[in-house]
Amino acid sequence: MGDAMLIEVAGVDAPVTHAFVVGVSDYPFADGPDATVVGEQFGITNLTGAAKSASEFTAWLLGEYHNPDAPLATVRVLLSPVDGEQINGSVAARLVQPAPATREAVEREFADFRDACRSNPHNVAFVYFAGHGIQLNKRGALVLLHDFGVTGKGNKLYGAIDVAGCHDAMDENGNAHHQIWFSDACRQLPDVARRFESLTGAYVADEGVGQVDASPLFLASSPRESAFAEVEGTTIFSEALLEALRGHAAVGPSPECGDWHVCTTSLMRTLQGKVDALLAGREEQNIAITGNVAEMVAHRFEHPPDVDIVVDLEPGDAVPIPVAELLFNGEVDVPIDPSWPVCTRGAAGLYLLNVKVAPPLTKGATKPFQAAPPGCRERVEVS
Amino acid sequence: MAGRGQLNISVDVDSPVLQDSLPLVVRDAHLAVVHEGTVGGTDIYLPEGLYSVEVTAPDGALSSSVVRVRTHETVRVRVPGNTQLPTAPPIGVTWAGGAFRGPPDVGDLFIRRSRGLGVRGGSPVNVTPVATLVEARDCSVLELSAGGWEFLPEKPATTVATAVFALGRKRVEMSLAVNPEANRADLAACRVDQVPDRDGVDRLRMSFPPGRSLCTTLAGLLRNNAASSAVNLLADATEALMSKYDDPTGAALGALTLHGLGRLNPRATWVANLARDFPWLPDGRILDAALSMKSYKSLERQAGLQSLLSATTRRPLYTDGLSLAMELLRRWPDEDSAPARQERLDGLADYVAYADWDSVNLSVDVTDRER
Repeated sequence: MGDAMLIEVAGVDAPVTHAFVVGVSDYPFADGPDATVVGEQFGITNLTGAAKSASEFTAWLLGEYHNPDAPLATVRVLLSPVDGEQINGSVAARLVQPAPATREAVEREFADFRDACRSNPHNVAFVYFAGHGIQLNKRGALVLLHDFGVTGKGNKLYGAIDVAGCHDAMDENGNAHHQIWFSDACRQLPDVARRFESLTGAYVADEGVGQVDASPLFLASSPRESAFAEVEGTTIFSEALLEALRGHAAVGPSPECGDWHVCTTSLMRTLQGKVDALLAGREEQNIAITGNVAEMVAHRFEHPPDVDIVVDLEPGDAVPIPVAELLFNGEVDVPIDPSWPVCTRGAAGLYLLNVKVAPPLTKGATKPFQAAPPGCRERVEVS
Repeated sequence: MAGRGQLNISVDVDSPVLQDSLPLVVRDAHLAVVHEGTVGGTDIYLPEGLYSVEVTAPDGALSSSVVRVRTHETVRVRVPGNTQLPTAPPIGVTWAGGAFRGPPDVGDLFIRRSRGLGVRGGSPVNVTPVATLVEARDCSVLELSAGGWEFLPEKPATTVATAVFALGRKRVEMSLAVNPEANRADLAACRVDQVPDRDGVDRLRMSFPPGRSLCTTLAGLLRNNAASSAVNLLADATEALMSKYDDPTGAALGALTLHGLGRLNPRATWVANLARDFPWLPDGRILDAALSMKSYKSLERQAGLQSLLSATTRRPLYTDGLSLAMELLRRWPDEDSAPARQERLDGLADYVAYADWDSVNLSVDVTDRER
């Protein structure tokens, strides 16, 4: 039964990376013909993109995640899509059978995941949850599972997981020394949230002793379902996260990592801006970070990234046309087209742009600038 | 040193803590880190070339610049102490866009601007409701301008100061980070201002006066998501607020932030002092409980639980204090206390459901309650 949701990567030796991914769009006991009185009273409706988002994150892990120090070994995936929700094809093909994210399955698989992570303290762990959420403050989150609202279990939060509680449990001596957690949840409206806030009984793993080296927990909460999932059926946060991991949050080599990489700090600096850009002012979605927030490398790149560089001229119709010279590090000439704006693609790094003018123009420009992923747009002024 | 130049970075700020502790990262033309330290360090010797200089500014914002280092020359980078963009970049320095933005602020109250149009002098103008102060508790208030107030503590403090504001049809109750231990207004006050925002949302913001510069930095670090990369600065500032400046509300903000980053355990003594010496401040006792919960001594855990149960009968000062209290009440490893914890959770639930989680100080929409 447990194998149904376990994707294993063959041929990797310890230390390795283990991942636990949960996406819940379907809430049969809260919405639909099987809804219970308990489930209905919270006004929860099915989501459209949580399971798909979780599958896309899984696909990134399987196809793009790169960490030579701890290659990917296993992904435990529990998905509860609604009818018609398109799960990533490559992930669906690797799952033996449907594996809905029920409380029982989550509890069992999380215990196995925790054991796997404990097998070597130099392991790395990824955890991702998407679904309805409650108590989404800056410290914690409960994510509702597939069987939220089921009756006969003794408490109303039986079908929920305390993400922050499980995170704290894994922050223990001997567990994977680097862990990164994401909770991607659709927050309830205040009058609904009010009914949840004082409830207890969600699944939480037993508290461990001690601490790992790094275990940041990113909490994303969207106030409305419309803002939660609207980018080709995936959640706003998952879209932002994948863009960040694919290079938008890449930073150059550091004492901790000799490659270009994505790390805790670069994710923090990038994610909120990506979410804001995707929402374009229509809604607010806030991202908080908590947990054991130390620097860790989440993903490494085999090659330095290229970036798009655009430099606009002010005024744009200056004549005679000013001549631009683009120098990497102020000394290595980068070929560019003589027209404006300057548009080129090159290595991420620091550049110097020299702009020469001819009479009647008298004032050219010299501009040092940084071209960091995914690109930069600068402006120079002549007169 | 042949083939090398010097980079000298300084900051315009009076606070010795900030002068020595603001984090600095220098990257070469390939964006590889070549130096990590603090602004107060010595000159940095670098091969000729372009370098990016990233500094956490005194307002907590990250600022970056690109400089050109030449052989046998010194490039001086001066980080402004205020929050204004320099009118012109210093020689050899280009400050990156967005590095400095807006006034330092602590709490935001999001209130949609009125979309209605009025007519003044024949031209249509946007009508924005002006915030009014409905009530201030346990503090005195001075109205500075339309939509701007300064609050001073009452002494001795017995509870967290609060104020209720009206903006349009909304009623919002804010906890106020005044400092009852200070003897000077500029070290004791906090401000709340209605400020326009670029996205069409009017906000009420709490901020600190210039005398409380370390508090401004702490709040700025939170606001700019820069706290995790400035842990040493956070710790230095929090310790100074505890020991040198007698600013318990500022220290509680720093300690909560350190706890949120998993870095408070080595500073348990501060927290114990905060909880013991300032019992009117629930956030200190909540933090003390959080550290006690992890103790292997049952007596310490029991004392922590009592501290938590006692603290959570009152309104916290900071939103993060409320968050932490809720987490502790849910998860305290003791079944016998479940009914008492449940009672406290019920009491805090109204705050939680209607809190503005983007605000550093606890800001709760009480529109329905007020009616």
